[in-house]
Amino acid sequence: MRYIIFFSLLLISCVDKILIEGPSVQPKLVVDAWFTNVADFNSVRLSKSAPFSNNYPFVVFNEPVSGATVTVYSQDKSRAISFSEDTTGVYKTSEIAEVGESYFLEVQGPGGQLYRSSIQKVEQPVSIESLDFTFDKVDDIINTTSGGYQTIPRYYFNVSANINDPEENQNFYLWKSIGIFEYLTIPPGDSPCNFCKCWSTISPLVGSVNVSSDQYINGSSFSVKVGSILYDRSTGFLTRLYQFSITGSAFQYWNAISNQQRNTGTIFDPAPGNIAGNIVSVGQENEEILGYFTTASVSYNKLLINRGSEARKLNVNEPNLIPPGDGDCRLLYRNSTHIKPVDFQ
Amino acid sequence: MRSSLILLVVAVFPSLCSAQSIDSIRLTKDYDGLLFPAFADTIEGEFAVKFYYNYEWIKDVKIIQRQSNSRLAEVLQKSLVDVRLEPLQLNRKSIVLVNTISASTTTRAQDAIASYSVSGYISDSQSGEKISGATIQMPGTKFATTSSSNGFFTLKLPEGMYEILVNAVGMSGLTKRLRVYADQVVDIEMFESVTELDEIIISGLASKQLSSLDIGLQTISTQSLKSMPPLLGEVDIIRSVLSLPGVTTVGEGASGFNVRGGNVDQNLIVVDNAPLFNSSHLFGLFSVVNSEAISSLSLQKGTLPARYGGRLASVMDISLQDGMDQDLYAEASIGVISSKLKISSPIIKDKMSIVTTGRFAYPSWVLGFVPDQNVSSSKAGFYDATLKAAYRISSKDYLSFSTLFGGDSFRFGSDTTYSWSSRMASLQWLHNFSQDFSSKLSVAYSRGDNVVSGKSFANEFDLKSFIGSTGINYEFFWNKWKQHNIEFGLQSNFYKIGRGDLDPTNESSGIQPFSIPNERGAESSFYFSDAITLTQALSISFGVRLSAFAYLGNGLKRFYQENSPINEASYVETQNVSGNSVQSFFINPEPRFALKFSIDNESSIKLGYNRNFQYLSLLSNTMAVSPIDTWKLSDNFLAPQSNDQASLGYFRNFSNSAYEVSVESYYKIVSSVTQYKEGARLVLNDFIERELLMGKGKSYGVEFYAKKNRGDLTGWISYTYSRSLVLVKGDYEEETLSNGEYFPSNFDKPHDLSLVANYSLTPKFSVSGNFFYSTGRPITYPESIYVVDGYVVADYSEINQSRIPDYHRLDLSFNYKMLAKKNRRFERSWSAGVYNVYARRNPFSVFFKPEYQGSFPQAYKLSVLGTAIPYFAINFKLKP
Repeated sequence: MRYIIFFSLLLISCVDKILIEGPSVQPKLVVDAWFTNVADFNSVRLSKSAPFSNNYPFVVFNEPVSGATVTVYSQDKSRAISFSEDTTGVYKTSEIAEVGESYFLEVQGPGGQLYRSSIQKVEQPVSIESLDFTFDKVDDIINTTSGGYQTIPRYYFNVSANINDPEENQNFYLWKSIGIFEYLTIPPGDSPCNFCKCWSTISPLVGSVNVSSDQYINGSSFSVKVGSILYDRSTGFLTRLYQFSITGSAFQYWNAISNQQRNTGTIFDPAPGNIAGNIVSVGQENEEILGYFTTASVSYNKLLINRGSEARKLNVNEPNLIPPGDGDCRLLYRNSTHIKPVDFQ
Repeated sequence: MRSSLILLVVAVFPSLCSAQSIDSIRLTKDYDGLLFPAFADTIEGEFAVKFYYNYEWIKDVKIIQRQSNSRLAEVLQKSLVDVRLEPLQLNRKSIVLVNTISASTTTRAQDAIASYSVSGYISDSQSGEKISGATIQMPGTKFATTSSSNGFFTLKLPEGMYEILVNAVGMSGLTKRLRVYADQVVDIEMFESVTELDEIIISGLASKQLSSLDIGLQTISTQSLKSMPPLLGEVDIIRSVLSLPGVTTVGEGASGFNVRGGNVDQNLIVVDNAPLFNSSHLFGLFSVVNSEAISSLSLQKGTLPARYGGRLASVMDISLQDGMDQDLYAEASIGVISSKLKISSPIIKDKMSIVTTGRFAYPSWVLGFVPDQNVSSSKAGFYDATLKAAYRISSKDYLSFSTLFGGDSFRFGSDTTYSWSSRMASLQWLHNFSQDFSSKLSVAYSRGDNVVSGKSFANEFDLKSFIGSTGINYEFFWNKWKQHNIEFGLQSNFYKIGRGDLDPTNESSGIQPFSIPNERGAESSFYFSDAITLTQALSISFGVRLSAFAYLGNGLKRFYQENSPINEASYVETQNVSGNSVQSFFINPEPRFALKFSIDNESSIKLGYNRNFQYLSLLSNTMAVSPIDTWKLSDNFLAPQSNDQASLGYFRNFSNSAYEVSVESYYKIVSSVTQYKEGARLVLNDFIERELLMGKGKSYGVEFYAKKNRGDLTGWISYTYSRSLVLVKGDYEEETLSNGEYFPSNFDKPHDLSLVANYSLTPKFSVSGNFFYSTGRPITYPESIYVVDGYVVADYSEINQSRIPDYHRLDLSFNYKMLAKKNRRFERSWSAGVYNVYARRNPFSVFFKPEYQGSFPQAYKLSVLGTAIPYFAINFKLKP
């Protein structure tokens, strides 16, 4: 709830974009590692950080690191799960984590240097009771071409998840949501249309890390905002929600990233700080490794909203949007397919 | 009695212009045997001097001149010795003949001389205000004292003739001749240092720097405040203090000030013995204390005297005017930003008086200068008011009541309103038990409130926080022994702090109420200090302050696993505890020491050392102190802040105090200072202990100050080179900042230059200007960027290793002042000028954000008041 207070104040101020050169530093290794009880999420992505310089806004800043040896060990080393390079810099495994067990990650870089994470436990999963939504009218502020602004009313489907937090222990949650939007196009002329309906997947649905702890709500049920979908089409919309039960220290890390994302760049902002991960360079403690080895158990739930019929129930007119007449829907919407997802049946 | 005193006590001023002093005048002709009146006439015709005397006394005196080419002084002394008169040079032209000490008293053995008590009040001749901290010295003897806070002084002096030198801040020093033959009362009136008698002024400030024991004491007289270029038509105390060496701010739009590398919360601001918590209007652009209401202001940034404590870096002590001994008058001023009114009125002549001021501001005018739609549609306003009523019950008792309240409201766009306010009230009772023992009892209440109001639809809320303090001070001043100046007292403060109370303000608001329980604590101190005059040249002062603090808590006690960092993961449980139990208790001795060695009449060396403790912190990890910051008392997670400071200074006056120069250096070791984990969230955080760290630090610097007190051009230059570094090295990685190495604090600005000048074109017109330059504040730039889980993250590894561009600014002001005349009932003055003349867009901060989600972060520079702002203000004074 404290996140609702979103401070933005500029005072009597002018804001100018400036060009600065960050200190020149060696690229650092970035380890983005996940090991859960769902194989799809188990991956280790190795890359290098890029020096900050906004002189070159199109710099490649995600250079993959290929040719590493990646292994996850159980705490007592009785189990070793090796990850193999799937695409460049992305290492995968089909094995899954055991809930309640603790693991650590070892990466041997292409140069032979060994990197090791702290030990992370796979916490008990907590189920997502349900997903539901509210249909809300919001006065959006739109900048006009003349430099002023005007408010226009718009409708949003606000999707939230309901969770019953277990009382016996502390719980830390991280949510990843995926949205699948159904789109329609009009065939050119009278020709039959094979690809006039498609489903576009947006992942993640919200552009920032979504984490929470049960600090204020331990043992009670609570709801968490999953996404806000503009009512601009009457087609279906599917929300897939994955809830990761993470460790307290992983929460600290992801929450720090979330805080950085929420900064609005004003004088009320906390001074920015370093976000420390849990991976060290063995024998070279001064080498800073970015990223985190996150372990979790994952629970899942979904919600399909038929936007048109839901809006009609509340006597809100359908949006006045004529589908484009280009025929192949898949070319218009990113990451889309003509194969109907199973949940749209 | 009074009339005889007036006869005996002749006010004279020491000779300043050696070229024309009676010592340097040589008589080339022979005047031997001439009667004095004729001699005087001849000398007046020949040299540019004038004699003042009682004709009856010297009508028969014959001039004794043994040889030609004798010095005038010698001739006068020899000629006048039989009639027990002696010449005193009043100024470069005037020689006064005064009664001299009787021969019999001077020849008596020292121990056989009876001592008498000389006491009285020191006051401002114009306003009638009592002057505290004035130094009273007998040059050439070991006798000296200072006036107490109610202007009272007392001295034990053996019978004899003395020259008394009195100096006070902002006042011209004066010399009185005093013949002591019985216990007596001598009330001394002083004049503000800028008067027509320019060439004979000794600046009070300079002489005080030379002669007082305090090191690191900076004072600005109300007079020099008035001659500073006003900011947007307002002369402001904190803005003025920023032009002194060792005082900096993190930037325009930042509340408060930083003294010698200390945080904003390490400054104690007291107004008539009540602490002030929100001292700023409009994010630090103005002070909450109206400069018109002030009688005196001092900033102690070095060795704090033992009677001050509770903060590490500095004490700003402000006294409000009580209007005592003043006739009724009213003053009003109208400016582009604010309008002010002041009324000073006696109620019972010389017994009871009242002064009240009010100020109302409409700074939205300034906002209109900003080309940003969101800003120019913002609204801002502030007000403040003061009242002081004083009652002189008898010559032994003085009672006063002071109150101040002020508030701000700032609405950004249509979303959020920030408002904050200050309230204080204090009752002071000064009592003289005897001529050498007096006391001051004060009871004070003070409160600062902050409210953030969200106005956006369905999210309406109020977030409130506050700090309240109720205190009692009982201070004693004891001057029984002539070489000792003893002070002791007891001070107690009870604090109550609300760190956050969130409430929806509308039934349709989706905000859930949330509240952090209020916390309470009590601080008590006992202090004792003695300033000892060892020899004429050497004095020392030592003191100790014993401070104790009890954290009474908020009814909750938290437990974390041992041997692990305090965070969410190591949290065990929260227990409810009784609200009246002491949860943490601290007791600390705070030694204070100062030494002054006068090399000669014009220069001195001072040395100081002190240790301070502070039991409350303003939690702020934002770019500057803001209305969302809250106070927190020391508890079992947050240790008291503490430091040790040593300072050394050299003070010297030139050309009879026309110029003052000082060099002060300091080294400060901060053994504990409140710091924050990286990216800590402090707003409405019930588990605040997880975000706090204890750091160490060191600050050092050297401060140069040169001031010109007299002439058409007056002003000062101050330059400071200083560093302020912080070290946070905990047992765990997350409790360590910047790899456990020293990093610059937010206000580490090594070079800081201020130039303040005022040039009188004519007696009525003057031009004044300010120029400020400082190194840009440290800031953390992202070193690199990287991607995790599809999100672009900036890597800010090295704290404060970069700097924003340097700050510099010039202000100019053209001032007109109608000359003050005794019977003039209406006075008018005005000033017009430009703030930030060359419209530099001084950056307040540099921040980083992506242009759109997931894109590469861009750097932006935020400038506050980044344009030239013209202003005009007119001031009226009316005496019925």
